[in-house]
Amino acid sequence: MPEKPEGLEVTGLNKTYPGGIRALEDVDLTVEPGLYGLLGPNGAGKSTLMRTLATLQAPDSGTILLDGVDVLADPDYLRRRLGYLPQQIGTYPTVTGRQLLDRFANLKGRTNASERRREVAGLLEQVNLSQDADRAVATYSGGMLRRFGIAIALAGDPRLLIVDEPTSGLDPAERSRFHRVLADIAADNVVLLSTHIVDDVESLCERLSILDQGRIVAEGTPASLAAELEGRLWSRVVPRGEPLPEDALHVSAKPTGSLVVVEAATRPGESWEPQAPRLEDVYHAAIAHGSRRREARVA
Amino acid sequence: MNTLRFVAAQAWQEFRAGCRGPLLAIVFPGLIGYALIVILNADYMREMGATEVPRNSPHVIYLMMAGQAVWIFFVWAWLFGLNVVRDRNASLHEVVLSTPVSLPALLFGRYLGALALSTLLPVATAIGFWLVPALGALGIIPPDAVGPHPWFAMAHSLLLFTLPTAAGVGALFLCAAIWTRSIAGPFAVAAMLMLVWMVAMVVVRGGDASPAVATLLDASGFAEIEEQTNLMTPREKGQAVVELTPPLLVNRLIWTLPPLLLLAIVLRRVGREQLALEKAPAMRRRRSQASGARAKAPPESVLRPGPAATPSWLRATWTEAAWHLRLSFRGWGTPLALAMMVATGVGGAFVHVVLHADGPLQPRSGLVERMTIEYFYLVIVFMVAAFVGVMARRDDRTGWNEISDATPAPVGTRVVGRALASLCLTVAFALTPLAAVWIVTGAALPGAFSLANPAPFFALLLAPALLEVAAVVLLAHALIRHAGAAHAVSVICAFIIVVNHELAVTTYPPAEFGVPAHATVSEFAGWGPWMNHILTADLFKLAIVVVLLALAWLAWPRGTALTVPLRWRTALGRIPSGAGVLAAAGVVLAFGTHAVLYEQFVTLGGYQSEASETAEDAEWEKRWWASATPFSTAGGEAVVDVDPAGRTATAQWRLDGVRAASGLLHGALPDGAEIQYASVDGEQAAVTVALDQFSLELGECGLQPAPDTDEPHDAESPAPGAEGCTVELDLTVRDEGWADHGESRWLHESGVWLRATDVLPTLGHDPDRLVRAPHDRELHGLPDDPVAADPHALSPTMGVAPAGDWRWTVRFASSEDAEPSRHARTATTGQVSGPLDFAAAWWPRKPMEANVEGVTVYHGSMRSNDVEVVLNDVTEMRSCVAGLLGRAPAVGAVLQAPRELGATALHGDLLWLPEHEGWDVAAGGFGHWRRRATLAGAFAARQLADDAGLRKEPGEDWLRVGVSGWIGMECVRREDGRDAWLALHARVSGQVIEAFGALDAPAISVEAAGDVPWIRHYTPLATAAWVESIGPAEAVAAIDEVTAAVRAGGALSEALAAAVGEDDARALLGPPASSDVLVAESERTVEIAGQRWLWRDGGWEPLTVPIHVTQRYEDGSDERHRIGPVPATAEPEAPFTIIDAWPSFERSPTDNVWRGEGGGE
Repeated sequence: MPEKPEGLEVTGLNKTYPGGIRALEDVDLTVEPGLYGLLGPNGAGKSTLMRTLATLQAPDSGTILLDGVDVLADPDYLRRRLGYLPQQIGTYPTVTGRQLLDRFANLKGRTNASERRREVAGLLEQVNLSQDADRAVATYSGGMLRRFGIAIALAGDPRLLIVDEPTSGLDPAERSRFHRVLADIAADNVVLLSTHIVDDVESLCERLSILDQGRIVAEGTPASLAAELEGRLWSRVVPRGEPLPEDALHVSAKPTGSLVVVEAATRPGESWEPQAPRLEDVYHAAIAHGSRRREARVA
Repeated sequence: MNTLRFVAAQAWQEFRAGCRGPLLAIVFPGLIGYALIVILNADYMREMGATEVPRNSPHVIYLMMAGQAVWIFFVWAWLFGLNVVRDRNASLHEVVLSTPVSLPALLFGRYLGALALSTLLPVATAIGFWLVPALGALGIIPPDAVGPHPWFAMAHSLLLFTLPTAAGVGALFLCAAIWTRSIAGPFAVAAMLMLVWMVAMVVVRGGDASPAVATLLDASGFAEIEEQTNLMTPREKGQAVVELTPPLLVNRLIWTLPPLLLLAIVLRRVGREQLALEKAPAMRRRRSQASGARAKAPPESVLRPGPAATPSWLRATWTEAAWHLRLSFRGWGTPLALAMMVATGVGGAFVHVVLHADGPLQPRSGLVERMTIEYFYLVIVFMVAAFVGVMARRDDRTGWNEISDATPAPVGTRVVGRALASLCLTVAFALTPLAAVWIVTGAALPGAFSLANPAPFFALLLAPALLEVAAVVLLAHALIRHAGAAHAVSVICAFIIVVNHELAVTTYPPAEFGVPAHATVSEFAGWGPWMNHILTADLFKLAIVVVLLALAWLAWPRGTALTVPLRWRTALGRIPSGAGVLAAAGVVLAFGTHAVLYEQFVTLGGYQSEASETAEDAEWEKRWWASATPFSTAGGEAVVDVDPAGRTATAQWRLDGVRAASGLLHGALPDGAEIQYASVDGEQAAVTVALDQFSLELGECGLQPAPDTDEPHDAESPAPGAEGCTVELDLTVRDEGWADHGESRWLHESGVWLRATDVLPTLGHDPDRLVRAPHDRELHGLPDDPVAADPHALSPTMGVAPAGDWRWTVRFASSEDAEPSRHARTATTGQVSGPLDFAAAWWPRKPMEANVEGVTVYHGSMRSNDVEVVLNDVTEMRSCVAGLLGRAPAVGAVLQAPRELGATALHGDLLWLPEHEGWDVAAGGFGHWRRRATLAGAFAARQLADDAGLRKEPGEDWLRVGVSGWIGMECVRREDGRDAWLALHARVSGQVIEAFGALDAPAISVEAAGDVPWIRHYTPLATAAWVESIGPAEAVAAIDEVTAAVRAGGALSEALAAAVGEDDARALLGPPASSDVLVAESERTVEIAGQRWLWRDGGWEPLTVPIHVTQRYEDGSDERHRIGPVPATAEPEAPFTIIDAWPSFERSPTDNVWRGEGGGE
């Protein structure tokens, strides 16, 4: 008897909105236990994919399996194992953190009152909100609200945690704290982290996919993806006033001008230095390759 | 860009944004549809006083345009709230607030945009009225119901009411939005405004406390419009222009200028920081400390349990419900609303009940609860709509709906949890007035205080109706994703429910959605007669609630990017779940309970809509009226056996000396009666029954010409067959079914309250069944006017058979059962020489009895303190009637009859005194005078009807209602003084004016009117004026002459003409007339002026005839002088009262009085 596959497997996922916007196009993903990153620019379809995986909207076609179970046919199977933190959560009036967490723990199936109380206390401790548990949620800072959101997502001890842009707007200390929480969780579970902040993925994820305009344009470990660009990246600080090369993968500001990174099989010129590939370069390269492929298809 | 252009640009942006939102798309068609519903419903129009006027009458426009403000307040609150909240909702507030623009100019521009949109919304109502000519052309409404376009009224109401109101309350809404940075603030203000409106309309105006105060308090201006239009004649309504009276001017100013001033101050002081920051509720210190303690809890408390085991979703549902409910009471909104309700309820109950215009009333159970529900209903319905809406939308914040949707909790857990919390909150709202009742009763009438008695009114009548409201609101929020649109639809639903409650557009009880079931609870019967009815009706309502909640469950959105087809498929997919089971259970329960309700209300109870009743009356007129021929009886005997437990009665009625010109004896059967057997001179006779009317073939014995008189035959005279037939009727009567609008039942195991008309047919033809309204006559193919019938063919006015020698016996089956000592009954035999009328009562448990000077009073223990005063009133008023008429009927017993079961009347020698007329008023004040007048009027009516053997012939109302009404008021004047009389006169004058503003049929003349409201109020005043002009002695002599002539077979109109002269008779029985006489001091003399009007073609037409008045001195001499023509002067020698010497009603009697030197008028 074959062993039951573990993790999340997405195959041929398509989603087109009523206005004709194709949000997902033949998306395939295999997410094993651990932290998995989903990178992509704004509007790439990350949130659509996250919401689809969270059973909040139905795909037009494709399959989603969690531990081998078709969750499109049995969404409750996934919901019972899901922790979900959407891209944004607003304030919630009148209620304290403890009360709100208690409520969502109940909705996540923690229906035994004493167990729920213990879980709420534990979660608040885990996200370092115990001291503020009886404060109104409306008074929480942005970072506290994100941590509170992760506490809600963790209620019920989920097998699959989907977090959409969790660190946007957080200060470095909050971000670091958040990373530690996610890393702890990922030890035993499947954590899908969607973000456009490359550093988050770089520092946390064992594997990642890059999504652009609804398609997966790259997939692998950060190292393997970076390896594909080994020896092909060149950088140069272009002084102010000089034109930037049109084929730049990405450009970042420097005190003396702009640091330009290009991809080329050979050194583009004397002034160009070899650039050790980082995930950020991988990200930009994947986006650029995807665009070129699309243009080629159109042509 | 200069400031002005910036403000204009902001206003335009705001207006466009509002137009693009869903509110306009919902509210505009909603208002047009509502206007069409109003226009198409003749009963509704009638309730708005729009009889004899076009459906698009200007007064209706005024009423509608101002009246809708009450619920539009909530829409306006939304629109003005968006001025502040729109940016915040889009998380753009910080961006906007950081731009280099003037914040006051920005907000003021938006305010203007919202104001323009707010003013535009009510125009939809006007559009509805523009469709009236098209409806007339299509034949949907009668062509004569179409008037010219009320352009002026539309523009006038828009400028005088809508725009200033929107400007004023809009300013308040914007201030609230700035303070709270949310829609909650404006909604709270809207709720507050509606509460104030409710107090103004229901408590102050409804309680007749002060129309001017009501006008001032009412932000919409509706109270003043209603005040003005209620006093308009149909003709005036057709050309109505609401006057800018001083109270209205003040109202417009105080609801416009101070709010605008407040807005100016707020805009000047508002800072960007204030709008940018989140407002966090302060948490209680103790909670924070507790949290600290918890945070330091032992380590095991933070050890999280493992993955959730199999959850109990049922338990989760309860927990979810409790969570929502707790949260509802956590903020300030709900507790404040409940506290305000209690405070308002206490104040309202004191004003509306204890200090009622017809009071003071005693706040006893049965009275105070109904009145409390009446004035609380409107505000609670809107509160339920608002609070349930807030609860339904609690997760409607960025991200939270998604988190909820992604939880494994079934939709049912979330929907049912919320529904349970909504229903609990609704029940809390429904039960809150109970506290007000306890407080008022405990304070004003401690002896009547009861914790338990008032509870069923709120728990069994009010709460189930409000649960329907809550359920429909929840469904609206489940169906409509946009929160504003859902709130708007909820408020529209609430408005329609309130309108249905106020105007009874739907009268079939199960169809009265959101309207409390009807029950009239009285002291003796208690809830006994109502329990089956109420519990079934409640079950039906709960079934509807269950169905609506199941639909909400099916429709509840889960997830994002939902489309209508997707939601439809999802809903279908949920049918096999608990939602389907719940819906099926609800439908089954609804059908089951409705079957019972239908059987009880329609099949057994005989419920008909007003239209069906009119149609049946038209059929009756076609079928029976032409066969109305004279008949008479000599007397006879009725024996009635009553079985309270079985709710049945049987009657054997022998009528002697029956003669009828056509050989047919006619009569109207009481409800639930069947003739089992009929014989004439011992032979079975054929009986035809149709439309509750029967005719019995008398054969030859009855074919002798009818006599010209109802003079009773000598009881000892033998062989009745020689002078007519002996007719025997065996009847069974079942008091089955349920009364559709809470009329008290006369036959129940908890008590029997029997009058002759309940168990015996009323002989003859009843002209009150004739269709009076010209439109209805035309609709049902009846001639313009009914053919005049011979007076001797008509039914008696007070009894079941014309004057004769009658004996009656009533036997109660249960009273012969075991433990007879526990039962009690009034006298069960009697005899009458006059029209046959009697009454008897039976109680399963003995009532309290008091016997003073041969008069026995049967009363409940709660009324023990009132017995002495009631008996005193009976004695004094009877003596007064005897003094005036020279005779008065005997009173052997006084009965505390159930609330609203009939009116105060003397049946035989039993005084039938229902709780609402005789036992609710306190021992002093206006209500007491009113009861005394009612008692004297009842004694006089009995005496006059018996003396004249009165039948329902044209003009009989003058004698029965007018003369007895005058006697009632005159007795109060003699016993309690001129001021008591003046108060009664002023009250009745007001009622006459209101009655003429709400005519069901054209008022042609007293003689032709029939039993209509204006007759009840007008004829006593017109008769009083006539009596004053000739003096009481002469008047009584003339009345005696008339009664004798009528008893001798003459027509009342002819007898009156013979007694008082053609002119006075024409004035008393002719078209209604009105006068306004004024007494004013001028130097050393008193000036008297006056004006007269005659009712013609739906309006008061001024007359230019010389006016003579009667001067009645109040110095003890009771001397009268005739003065005129006026204007004239009178010497200020002694206090006097002036009244027109012409049968008419005085419009403002309070200025007819000269109180003497230094007394003023």
